[in-house]
Amino acid sequence: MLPPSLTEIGEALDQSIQHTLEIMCFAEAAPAPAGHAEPSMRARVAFRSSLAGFLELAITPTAARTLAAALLGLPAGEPPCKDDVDGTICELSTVICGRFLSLFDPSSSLQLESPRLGVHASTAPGLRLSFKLDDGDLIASVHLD
Amino acid sequence: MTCGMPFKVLLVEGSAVLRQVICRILQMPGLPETSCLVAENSEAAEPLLSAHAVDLIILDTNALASEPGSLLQHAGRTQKLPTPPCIVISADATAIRVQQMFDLGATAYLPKPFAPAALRFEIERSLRAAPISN
Repeated sequence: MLPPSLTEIGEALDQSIQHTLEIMCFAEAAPAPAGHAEPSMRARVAFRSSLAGFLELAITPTAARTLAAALLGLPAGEPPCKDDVDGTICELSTVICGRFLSLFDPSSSLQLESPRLGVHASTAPGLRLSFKLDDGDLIASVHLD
Repeated sequence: MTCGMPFKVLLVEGSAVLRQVICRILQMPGLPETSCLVAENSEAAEPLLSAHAVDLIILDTNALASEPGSLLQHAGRTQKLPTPPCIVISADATAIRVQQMFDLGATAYLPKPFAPAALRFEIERSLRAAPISN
């Protein structure tokens, strides 16, 4: 089997991000040109299937709070607590990673590690996609071993 | 369920955020009345299964602390026959995982992300068909 191209990985990741944010948080993620400032909230999920590596999500705190409020169905004006914001970003990272890999290679077995918050941005080479949300930015990157 | 008693649901979910979301779905209008036992992982869920007769298990595969089959086997040993239905939710939608969980006794499998209405539908379908626990 030929190794996947970055284009194929990028398409599966893009689809997974847009679908996950729409279904879980009723949010639209519009592809954006790279070059935005790096958002400060970051979560990482390591995975192993036919591919091995990790997925990283970086998101601006305002956008993270909006996504958490939407996921939890909070009334307008009621902000989510920090634990709920952190939990939302961890859950989104896991779901996006799982969906991306399940789409990409549905016949492989898949292992997902627990998400880690607050990691430093990886300097390893990888695929990077940028999105504009209603009130912030989201950058997803995949780094393969 | 006996007349007037709510259905008892065991929710095994590692994410505190998703526990809130699912508990809210369980309270949606139109669903049968439920009371919810909550466990963060399968280890914490086993004593609950030993102590309570439940009508439905909702299990996130991320909350499996041990072998995937152990919790469902535990349910088989501790619950009255027939064992309660089990809705599995998972970020893993690979064919291998789906088949594995059905082989172990899952009655429904919802890959994440799922719309609240999809889980609501499975809960309602499962409870309508649930064995009497009390």
